Amino acid sequence: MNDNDADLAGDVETVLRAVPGVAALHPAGSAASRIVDAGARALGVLAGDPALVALRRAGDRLRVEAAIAVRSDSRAADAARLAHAAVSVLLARRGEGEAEVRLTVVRIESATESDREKGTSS
Amino acid sequence: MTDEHDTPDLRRLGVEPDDLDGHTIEELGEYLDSGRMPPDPSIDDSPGCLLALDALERLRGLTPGLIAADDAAEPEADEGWVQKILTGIALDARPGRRIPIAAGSPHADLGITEGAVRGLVRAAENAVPGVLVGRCRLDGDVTVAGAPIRIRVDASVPYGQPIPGLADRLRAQIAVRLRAHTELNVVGIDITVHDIQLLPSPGEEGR
Repeated sequence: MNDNDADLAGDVETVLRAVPGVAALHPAGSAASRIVDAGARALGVLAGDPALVALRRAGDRLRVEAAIAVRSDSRAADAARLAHAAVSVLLARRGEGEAEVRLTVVRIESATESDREKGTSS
Repeated sequence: MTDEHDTPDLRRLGVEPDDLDGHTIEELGEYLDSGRMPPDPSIDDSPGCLLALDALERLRGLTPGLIAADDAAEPEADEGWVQKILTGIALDARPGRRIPIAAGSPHADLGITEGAVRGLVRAAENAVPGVLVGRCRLDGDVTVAGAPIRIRVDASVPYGQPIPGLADRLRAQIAVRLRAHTELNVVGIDITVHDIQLLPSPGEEGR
């Protein structure tokens, strides 16, 4: 990933975190790749946090991928659509309006977790 | 149709470590015991581990005395109900199939994992005190939008309460959650009660 794409991935992450109903982002990629990644970090082979937004280019095509957790008091499908809309606006501004955006809801928070977060954010 | 729950050798407590992003259900139990300290990003960042931790917390919150009673019970040919539930938690937390969410844009590919939906179904036990979900299955091709899906749930219920009423309440709670969060075409929610637990009276609960 070049510096521009790294910046774009960071901006996508920021946009996703701001979407109402999105509680958290989880590392993108398969379970197997996450295990390998975590092992490499534990051994010091990899540094920093795991990527939360994956950007892949194939020719002119850009694919953006992220995994999100949704608050229990939001509707997961609505939150996913809102998240896609927000990312699309950002990508269009960056001249990447044709990018494919793949978002997966991987978890819906428990009600107590959502309540706890509301308490800490108020 | 394949269903990972039907794999016979997974019907045991010692599921393979990579079922939970490299962790076992025992490790997650120990992590809860330690108050999730020191923080372990490989657990805290893993949706599967977090789904399993949610379920483990509910199980432990039910009553420590109940679990101790199960541990102290005479050995039976069948495995203990707590172990069955632990096995179900580990199986249900796996991501499973990806269920489509309608997007309305050719550039969008939206979905929700089967694991997230199973976590949602399991969480319905919160609304029916004493009831615990052992396992949850989504029967049908969830990868095709609009395909008919049956939800099958194994549950444990407290002794002394009418089972049909408890099952109806659990079914209603599951339906509400599925309608709120998914676009699944749910044609039925089948609940099978596998265990009846003798809940200690309030004064008998261990602390």
